[in-house]
Amino acid sequence: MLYNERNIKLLSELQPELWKNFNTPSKLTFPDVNIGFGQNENNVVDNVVIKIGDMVYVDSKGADAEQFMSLVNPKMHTVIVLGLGLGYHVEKFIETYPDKKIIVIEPDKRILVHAMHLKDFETIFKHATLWVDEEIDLVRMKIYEMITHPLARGIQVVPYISLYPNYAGDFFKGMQKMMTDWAVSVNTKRTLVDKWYINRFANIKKPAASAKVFIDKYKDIPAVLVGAGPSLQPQLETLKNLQNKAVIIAASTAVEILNSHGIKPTFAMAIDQDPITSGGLHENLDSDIPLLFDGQVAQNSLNYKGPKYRFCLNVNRYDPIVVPDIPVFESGPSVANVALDFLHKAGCSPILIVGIDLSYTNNKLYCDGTQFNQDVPQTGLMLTNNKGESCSTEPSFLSMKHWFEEYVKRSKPDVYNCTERGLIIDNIPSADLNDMVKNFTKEYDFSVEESVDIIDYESINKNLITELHEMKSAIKTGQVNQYKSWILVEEFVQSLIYLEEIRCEDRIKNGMDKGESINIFQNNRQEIISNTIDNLINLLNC
Amino acid sequence: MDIVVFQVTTPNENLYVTLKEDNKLEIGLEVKQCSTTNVTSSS
Repeated sequence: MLYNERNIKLLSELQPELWKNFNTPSKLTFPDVNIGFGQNENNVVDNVVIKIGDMVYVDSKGADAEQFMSLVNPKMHTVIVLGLGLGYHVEKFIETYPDKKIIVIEPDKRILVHAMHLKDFETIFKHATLWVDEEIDLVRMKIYEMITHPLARGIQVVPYISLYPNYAGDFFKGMQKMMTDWAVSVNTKRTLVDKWYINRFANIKKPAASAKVFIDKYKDIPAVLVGAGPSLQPQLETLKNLQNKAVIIAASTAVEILNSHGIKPTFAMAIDQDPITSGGLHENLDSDIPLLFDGQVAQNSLNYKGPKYRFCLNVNRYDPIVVPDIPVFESGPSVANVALDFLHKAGCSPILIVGIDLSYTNNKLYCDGTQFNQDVPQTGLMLTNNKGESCSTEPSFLSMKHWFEEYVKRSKPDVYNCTERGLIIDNIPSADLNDMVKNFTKEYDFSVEESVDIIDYESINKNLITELHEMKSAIKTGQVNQYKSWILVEEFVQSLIYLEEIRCEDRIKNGMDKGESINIFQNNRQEIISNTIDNLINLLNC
Repeated sequence: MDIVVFQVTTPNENLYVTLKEDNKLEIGLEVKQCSTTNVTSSS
């Protein structure tokens, strides 16, 4: 019990941020958790005892630290550990890996307060980063900033002892979700950016009007966002009766399904770059439904005969250069995600979601009424749906779900998930479609006047080409990012350069001389940028 | 050579994000004391 005074002094000197909050009331409280001091067999107080219900936990200096160390992957350079205890495991880590970084998350401030009486914390305060008494969202945000930082990789998240089940459950679920979304997003960008640019440069030439006319146009008018999930089938009759009573937006394939069942949505939306699926769908669609599109969409989608309205995903860096007042909607892993942002920005309320199963309901991919393949891939990923049934899903569906959850939390649209069968989307209340539409009695005229905006893309493209040539000459000698068109190159190359950075660091970790590895990286980086500039010039010249 | 970029270890499973030679980031879920399931991102 003699250590406290010294530890407090050390804490104030070595962890000033933590010290600032040390004497303030705890932000997090755990009323079911009792914490006290424990004695050893010689009646010496040497431990912190944590009681949760019937469970009693005493930090076991040797065994628990060893158990923790057995979980650590020595190839990682940063370990984020949930649980401080008496910190023996943290000391063991610092002793074993003095060059690695350790971040300790301890939700319960009382643990640190007690532990500081029992042992010297100098090593931990000197070498570890402590996040104590911090809300789960703040912790997640900090870790998200770490993993999305250009120089971040080699991070392992690992538990010490699984106490505080709710906090730990939320934490680990959140971490898995974050890592999965991050990987899906990097993969998507790396593989599709080329197609996006080919389409953006070609599609800017196609006649269309700006979708800005729809911003706030449907203030407090109900809307239905229709996905193509298999559970849409029994809800089609209800949708048929809503055609003039709610703004209905069909996300990609859903337009074909609605069309084949005699339902005319207010809008169709398309962002998919695939000329077979998305492109084929719109090219052959015999309708006058207004089609909302981003420039990355498959070029043959815009052979659609009906009215077309251009918007811009927030990741699209080309269209805003050419069309300065283009409306921007948030990009997501699926067109359905983007459609929600559109409805919200159009002012719609409430917004009902249907056909967003996020899983292979009845072992099918789509509701009946589409020409597309219904083959379901075997992902091995099984979760429970809103009916309590086990269902097959995949990471890209989870990515969509996570996007909805984050978006709704942040943007607060008035939205309800009326999907008949599918994964529950946290933060979006589930509701029955028929109950929700009982009050949708007012009829509206949703017809739109077709128009076409004149866009001077030729002179803008010419300037971009001139600048790209200048940039190429400056790769080895100057700052490429001083050029206006660098944002186009950057979007193209950032995933590949990021992956090269990972390889560079890995070569050093495996014994290559640092200078040599950095040289390889610089050469690869220059080659990637140079090839990309050539590629962009060629595409703009087409 | 495959490089493990991120890893989330829980009492029941290990989730890995691995950089493959073809520049793909692969998501792998290893369920402890059970069979290993590879969950690969669709993109």
